[in-house]
Amino acid sequence: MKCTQITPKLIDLILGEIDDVTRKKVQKHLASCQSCRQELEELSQTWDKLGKLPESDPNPSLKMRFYTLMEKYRQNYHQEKQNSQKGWFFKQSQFRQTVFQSALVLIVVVLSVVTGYLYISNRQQTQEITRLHEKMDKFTQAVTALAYGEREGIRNLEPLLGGELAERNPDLLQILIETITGQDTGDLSLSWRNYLGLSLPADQPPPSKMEEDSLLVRLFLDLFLGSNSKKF
Amino acid sequence: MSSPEVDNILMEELREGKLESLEAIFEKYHTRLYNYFLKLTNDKELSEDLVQEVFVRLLKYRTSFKKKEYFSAWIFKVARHAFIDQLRKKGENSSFQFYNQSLAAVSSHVEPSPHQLIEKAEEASLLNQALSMLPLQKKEVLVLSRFQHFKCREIAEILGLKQETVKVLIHRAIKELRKIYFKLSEGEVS
Repeated sequence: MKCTQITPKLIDLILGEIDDVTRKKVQKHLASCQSCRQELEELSQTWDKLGKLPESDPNPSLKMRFYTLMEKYRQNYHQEKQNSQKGWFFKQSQFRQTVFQSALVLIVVVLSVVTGYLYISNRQQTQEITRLHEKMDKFTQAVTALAYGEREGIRNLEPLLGGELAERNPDLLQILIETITGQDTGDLSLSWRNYLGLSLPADQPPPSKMEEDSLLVRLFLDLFLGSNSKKF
Repeated sequence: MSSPEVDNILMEELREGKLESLEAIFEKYHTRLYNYFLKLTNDKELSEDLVQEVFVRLLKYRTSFKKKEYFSAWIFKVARHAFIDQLRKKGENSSFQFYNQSLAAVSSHVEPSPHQLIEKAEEASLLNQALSMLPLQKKEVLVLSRFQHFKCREIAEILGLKQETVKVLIHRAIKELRKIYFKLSEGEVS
């Protein structure tokens, strides 16, 4: 081995990090090389001197400082642990609260929609009923006027029902108007009075079954009141 | 159970929150760490501060320790980072005052003969001074190999260098130290 190959191995030798084969090769070289022996000796001397440097013991205050640090850390550690548990609980309760609030809002919304729908529907129904009642009142008044022989009542009846009747059956409306205006309405008057529950005049006999079921009366009721005539 | 295995178990326990394990690690390593810092800084108070800092960091970074790592090398890696951070805080590498170890402090470790006592103490003082005058990297490899008894492989791991580079550094460090020592002993360096 050459000196350049040996020099790096000298440190391995000093550190004791050398295998037996290499050690033997180095020792063989050293035996015949004064320069490398000198190098090893100098390195070893300094290395040995360093090894004799005393180790120092730290001041006892270092231990005290460490154990004080540990005590503080323990306290903080437990505090943080408690806080994190509280934090978890808080997060849980917050989550529950959010869910509860959302559910509550949903229920309120659903209730509002249902109530609103019912209210509007009911209001529409009420309005419809009111409108029908008003219509029936006007109709009843008009028919009653006719029944009492006020022929001009037909003018009130015609705009009242003409639109619907005209749409349904304009020819039939015309026939009806002509029938009412052209006929002796004695029986008709009595039938209507009876139907509407009005008291009959004292000098008038009650209408016969035939009069009540007369074609004109039935036609009239069917046309004006339709299937709702019984309810009315 | 070997020492490295015990260290790893202690560290594992610390990771799991058993703080008593750190106390055991402290008892085992604090003097070694103190001497490591003392050799690097020549400052007792600063060395104690740095030891404390290492254990604070151990608590802080305990989860970053991996089971496969060699704990002894790992803790010195933490120590080295603490030392480098301290250097950066100071602003320069050479700002540490030379620590002239007192004769009385050294005397407790040498032979009782008064003549030898003074001779040895002077020698130790000069050597410490020479050591403190070495460039940081050379000083580190010497301290880790000679005083902390790490193998080249472990020093390479601590310093983040190649094993061969560590060997070359140790070789050069010893030669340079010797040169400084003789200059100091001849009074060439004040």
